[in-house]
Amino acid sequence: MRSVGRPRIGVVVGLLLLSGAVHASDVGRCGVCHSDIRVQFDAGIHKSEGFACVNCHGGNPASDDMKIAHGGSFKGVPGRREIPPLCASCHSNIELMKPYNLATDQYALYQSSQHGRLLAQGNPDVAVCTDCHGTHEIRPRSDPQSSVNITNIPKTCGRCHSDAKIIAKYKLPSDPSAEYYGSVHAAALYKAGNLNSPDCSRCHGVHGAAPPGVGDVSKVCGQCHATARRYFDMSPHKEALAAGGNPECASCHSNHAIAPADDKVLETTCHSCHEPGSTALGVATQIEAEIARARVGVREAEKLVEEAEEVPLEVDDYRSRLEDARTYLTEALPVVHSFSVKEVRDVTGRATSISEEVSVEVQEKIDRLRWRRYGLIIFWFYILVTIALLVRWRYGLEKSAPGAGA
Amino acid sequence: MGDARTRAGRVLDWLEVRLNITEIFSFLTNFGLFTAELDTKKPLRSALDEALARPMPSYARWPRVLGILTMLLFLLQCLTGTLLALYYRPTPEAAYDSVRMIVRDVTLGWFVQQVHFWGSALLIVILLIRLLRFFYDAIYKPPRELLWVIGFLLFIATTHADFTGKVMTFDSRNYWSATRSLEIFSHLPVVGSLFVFLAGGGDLSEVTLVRFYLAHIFILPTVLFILFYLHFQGVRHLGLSHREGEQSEGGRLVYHRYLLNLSILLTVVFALLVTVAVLLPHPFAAPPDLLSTPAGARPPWYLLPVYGFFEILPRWVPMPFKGSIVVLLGVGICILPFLDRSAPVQPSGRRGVIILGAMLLLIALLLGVYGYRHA
Amino acid sequence: METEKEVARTSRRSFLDVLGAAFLSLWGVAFLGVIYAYLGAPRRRENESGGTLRAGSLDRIPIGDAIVVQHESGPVLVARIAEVEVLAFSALCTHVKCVLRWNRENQTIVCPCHGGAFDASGNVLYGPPPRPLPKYSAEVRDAQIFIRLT
Repeated sequence: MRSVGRPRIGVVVGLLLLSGAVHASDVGRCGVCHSDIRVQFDAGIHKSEGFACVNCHGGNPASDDMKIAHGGSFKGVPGRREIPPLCASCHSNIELMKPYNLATDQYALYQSSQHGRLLAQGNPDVAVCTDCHGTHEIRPRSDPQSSVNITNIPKTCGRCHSDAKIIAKYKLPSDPSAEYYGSVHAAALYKAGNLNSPDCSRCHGVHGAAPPGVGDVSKVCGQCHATARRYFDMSPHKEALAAGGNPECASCHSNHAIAPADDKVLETTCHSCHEPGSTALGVATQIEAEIARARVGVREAEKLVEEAEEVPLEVDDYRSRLEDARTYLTEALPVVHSFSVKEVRDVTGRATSISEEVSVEVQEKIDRLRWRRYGLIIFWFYILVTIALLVRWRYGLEKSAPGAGA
Repeated sequence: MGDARTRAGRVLDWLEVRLNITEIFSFLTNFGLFTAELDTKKPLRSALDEALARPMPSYARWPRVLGILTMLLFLLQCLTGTLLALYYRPTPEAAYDSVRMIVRDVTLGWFVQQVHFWGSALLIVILLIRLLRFFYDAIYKPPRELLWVIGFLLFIATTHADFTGKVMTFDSRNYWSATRSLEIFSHLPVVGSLFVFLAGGGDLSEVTLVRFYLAHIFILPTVLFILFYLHFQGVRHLGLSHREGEQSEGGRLVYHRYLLNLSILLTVVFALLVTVAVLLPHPFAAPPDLLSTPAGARPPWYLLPVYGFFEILPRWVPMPFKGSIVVLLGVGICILPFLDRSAPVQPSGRRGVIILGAMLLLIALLLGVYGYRHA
Repeated sequence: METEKEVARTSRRSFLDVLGAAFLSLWGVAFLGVIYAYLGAPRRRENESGGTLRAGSLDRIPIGDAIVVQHESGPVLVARIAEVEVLAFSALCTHVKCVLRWNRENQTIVCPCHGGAFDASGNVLYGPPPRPLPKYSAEVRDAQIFIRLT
């Protein structure tokens, strides 16, 4: 808060310079010497919006005499603590950002973030704007090459948060980026291409990045996992975890390395709190059994339907009914968070009853095929009588003309 | 019954005035049911009486039915094939659906399809048995050389009909089986490459499917029909084969007994065919997936010896060489009558030739088993 | 006597012959029967023909409500949003293929499994679905609903 004066001057200077730069989109002669930086700058979004070196660095862009060019208002490389106010000089300006439909509260959010607070305390390690967005080659978020594109965010954050030195210095949880890459969220993002899958910023915030507080975890996760959260809120775990000061979702699912929700979670995680033989573990086992029963039922019905299709029999209706059963099965997974056998059974029971119905009816259809075999018995009866008749006729033929038979 | 007989006789007389029934009947005899010469100038009944009065030694024994059996099976294939063609649509998109409709939705469609499938396999087996019998009894010595060649061509043409028919179901198993068979064909010099060329290239596109369809429902049946005609024409001309020293007996009675024997055999064969079709239905697989070959996608069984032969030889033996051996062997079998020019003798006198043939057959069987295991 | 016996035997034999012939003619009947049964073209399933699905009469769905219609390519959600205006969507969520339901109150399509939601145009409103819902063109003719699935 000591440096309040300087950003204000910066804002004024920036505005003045920008007003000139917008008209003369010439970036000046800086690139004559700083050709490598010029190349980077040209690739970014600022170049195409008519921004120039002078807007951040000052000096006289019209001259290639170093004394003149680096004279006057020249600022050189801005210090780390000067960067956020420098960027904010434009990006917090409502008038300037209006045509781009960009938010202007990033600077305020940044100041509220863990990064911003530590920077204000004089910590030079924390991220400033350029650490995430790049210095000269700043690309928009929609550009897949951008360091802040959703697919690159885990890597960008990991530049610091997975750096062994920084991890050691601040005693951070070990390597969140690597953990994230192994998670179900990363699989959804990278393998299934689901851009709705969360990156780091979805849970931690973008410019206001901060670790969610213990009580906020379920709110953060619940944004997407609304159903799971609703059932969790009904469960006895909610108060118990809050009383113990434990995070709600992460206690079982961990924070970054979130594994796919399967039966293993029930099996392994429950033991970490509950004693073997306790009623709670009994409930867990029962829930597990309910889900397993429904899953086996659906799988058996699917197998029967496949078998019938191989004959082939007409089973399209059963196929779509199984779709319903499968939906109930998937629906049961969020319901597990209620930790109530009754709630789970409500859903899995429907899956089980549908798949049982389908199994019985398809089996009946398959069994009806035995009529083909019954038909075969009648057919053979006919065949045998026919052969008997033919043999009798041949016998008659030979008898009527003795001596001709061989 | 006597009344009915005279009524039928009166109809025949009425027709006889207007058409040459004897000539029509004598055309039908080209397909194996009746193998004696008929005097087409006489009315049918007297012509038949005259023909039956002559001795017909060959009707007295059993194995003479193989020829007529193949012909009747061919007719059954024509019938079931025509029924199937009522619903079949020969495009890659529709073929699978239309076959599924036949075997799933059409009343007794599965039965017609299975009888067609197993009938084809039976036809090939009987043609093969017949070739073996020709070989054992030396029914390729002059003047019966062409009977052998035609018998061999019948076998080849029937396997082609079976192959093209399998492709037409266009399910994954047959699709991949056919793809692998085309691969085998492409390794056979001249004949194989010609086949692949005529099929429209090595992969199964809609061009191939339409060509196979046309070959299956028109070209090959026509070829088979002509071959059957030539064959039975030759048989009628030369008389049924018989071993030396066979009794000469004849007359109407022998022919009647022959017809009854034939009916009994046909009934048994038909019963077996239907039983197999019901109890061992050839499964209908999923639509073809171009990225994965399903397990059990082997070339059809009659190609397995060739496949086994290709596989069992070490890899450094060049493919064209392996292919050439197979083609030369095939050509050799085809022109066997012109290679084995020894005097016609009893099987006991041709022990060397028969042992050679038996060994070839055994090797083919073993190679077939090897090919089945390694496919 | 001898001749009478002879005659009786012949007539008995000819009776058996007739019976036998009648029995054999059953083969012909069965044969023609099979062909006749085979020739009857199978009827298409009642609610579909080609790429068009018949979702039944409009009265089945109250205004503002929706039903799920089964089809071999998967369930189809048919919503009636106005007197004669219907919308049709694939009823399988684009996330993990749960069968979707219609939310009457705010006219959205919701997924019971993970809380995903789509608006009445099929766009993702909320939750994990990665893609909008495939939408089919639906028409009302003579108070019957037709959906073109291709």
